[in-house]
Amino acid sequence: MKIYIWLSEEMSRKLEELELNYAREVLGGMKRIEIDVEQEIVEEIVKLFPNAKVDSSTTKSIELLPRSFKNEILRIIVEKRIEPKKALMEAIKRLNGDI
Amino acid sequence: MNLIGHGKVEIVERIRRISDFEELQKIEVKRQLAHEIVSIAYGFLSPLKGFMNYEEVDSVVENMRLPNDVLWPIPIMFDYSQNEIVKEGDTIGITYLGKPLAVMEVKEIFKYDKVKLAEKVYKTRDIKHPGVKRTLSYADAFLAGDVWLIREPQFTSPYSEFWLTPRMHRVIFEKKGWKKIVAFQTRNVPHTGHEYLMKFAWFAANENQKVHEPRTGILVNVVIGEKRIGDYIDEAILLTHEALSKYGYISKKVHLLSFTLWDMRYAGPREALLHAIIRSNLGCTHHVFGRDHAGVGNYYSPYEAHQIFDNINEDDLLIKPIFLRENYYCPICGSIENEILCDHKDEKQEFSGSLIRSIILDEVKPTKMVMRPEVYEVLMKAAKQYGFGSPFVTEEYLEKRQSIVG
Repeated sequence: MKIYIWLSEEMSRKLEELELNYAREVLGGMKRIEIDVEQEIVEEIVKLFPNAKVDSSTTKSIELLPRSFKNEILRIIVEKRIEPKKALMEAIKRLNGDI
Repeated sequence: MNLIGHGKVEIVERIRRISDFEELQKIEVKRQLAHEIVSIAYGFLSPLKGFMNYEEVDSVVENMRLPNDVLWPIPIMFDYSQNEIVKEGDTIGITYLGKPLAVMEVKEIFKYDKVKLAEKVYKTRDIKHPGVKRTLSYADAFLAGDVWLIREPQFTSPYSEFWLTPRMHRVIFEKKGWKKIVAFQTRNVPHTGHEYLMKFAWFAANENQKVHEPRTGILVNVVIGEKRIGDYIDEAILLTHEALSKYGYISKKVHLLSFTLWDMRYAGPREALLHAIIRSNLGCTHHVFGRDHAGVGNYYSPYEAHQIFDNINEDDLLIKPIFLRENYYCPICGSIENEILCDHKDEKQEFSGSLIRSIILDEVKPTKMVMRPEVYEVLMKAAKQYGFGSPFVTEEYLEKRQSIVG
């Protein structure tokens, strides 16, 4: 299962400037970060965001995650210059009050 | 003005003023039937004058033709619950949302094998197919007979700005000097892939006409009907297509936007033919058929709606199909292409519905190569104004949406 985070043009530029080249161009200049997540993390995320939808047939991703959560992941990537998966785990820990 | 429609029959509007409506036995109809009555009365479904009888339904189901040999792919049926006592020969009053809408002369009351109908029309009896589900949920009896509208529908905004009857379409085409009109059917907010489908179709429809002034137009005809959760809201579809020409991405000189009231049956190839018939009644000369036209799930192959035209004589339709491959963004060419026009298919970036949807749900403004900035802005504004914050149909939208008809 994946988490997709689409990037605005500004965020895309910012990540490039910082040489944090984690995004992939998917369509017409639009880039997204794709994070692979294991089943136990999927379950943890769904507990945190009950409105999230796990689409295992079409997009094979966790949909309807709040933009604020995705922005937090991006903020951590930029601030700590760490890879997206680590930023995701840190964002989850913060939400759980473990940090 | 030429008013010849499908089946080479002149389009006649079926509108009647009557004074004794209150005295008639009345039936309140659901949205699907109300929309079909309006469509029949104005000639969208010409040469039909009313709802089909047993012989007509059976002929359409078995042979895709009316008994008089005119091509017709999908039965138009008035299902009714036998709790209401109607007899053959009755003239009944039809109400919608509690208001008078039409009268019908009931010529026949009949039953039909709904499973057979579903299997023939949809090529499946799978209840998960929305057309099959609709068919099997029809009441057990059907009324046949001619209908007349007795009250012209008053549409709410923004629908009122785009409502045109077949006659009105033809008046505008004539005024604009268009000799060829290509219909583009849509239930989507336009991305650049759609925009270029329309532009490619314009060239195909223009054929050998000179280009010193526009003699060919594009009619964007939105299908307004039943909505499913996750679809774009109707208001957004109309307003974003308007934005495409308002901001010059498709010149106003060649662009017209309107809608047809029709509940999609998702009958794939058969429905493609019906769309061609409806747009020929609007006065269009050409119709775009892209990938998976009127399809759903994996019930039809991607270009099955193209193949069905192999079995149709040119004489059967007043409209020519324009077949187009699905467009994609080619990063090598740096433009919108398709597999016929460029050889970089391994690099192609597809405009899938779920991809565009995920961009919008992420509240990220698409690049202009994906969606024009003004189209995106209008989409998000429509979400606030009509969609309770979402450009997509939600349960809240279905429950609380403003009525199309005032």
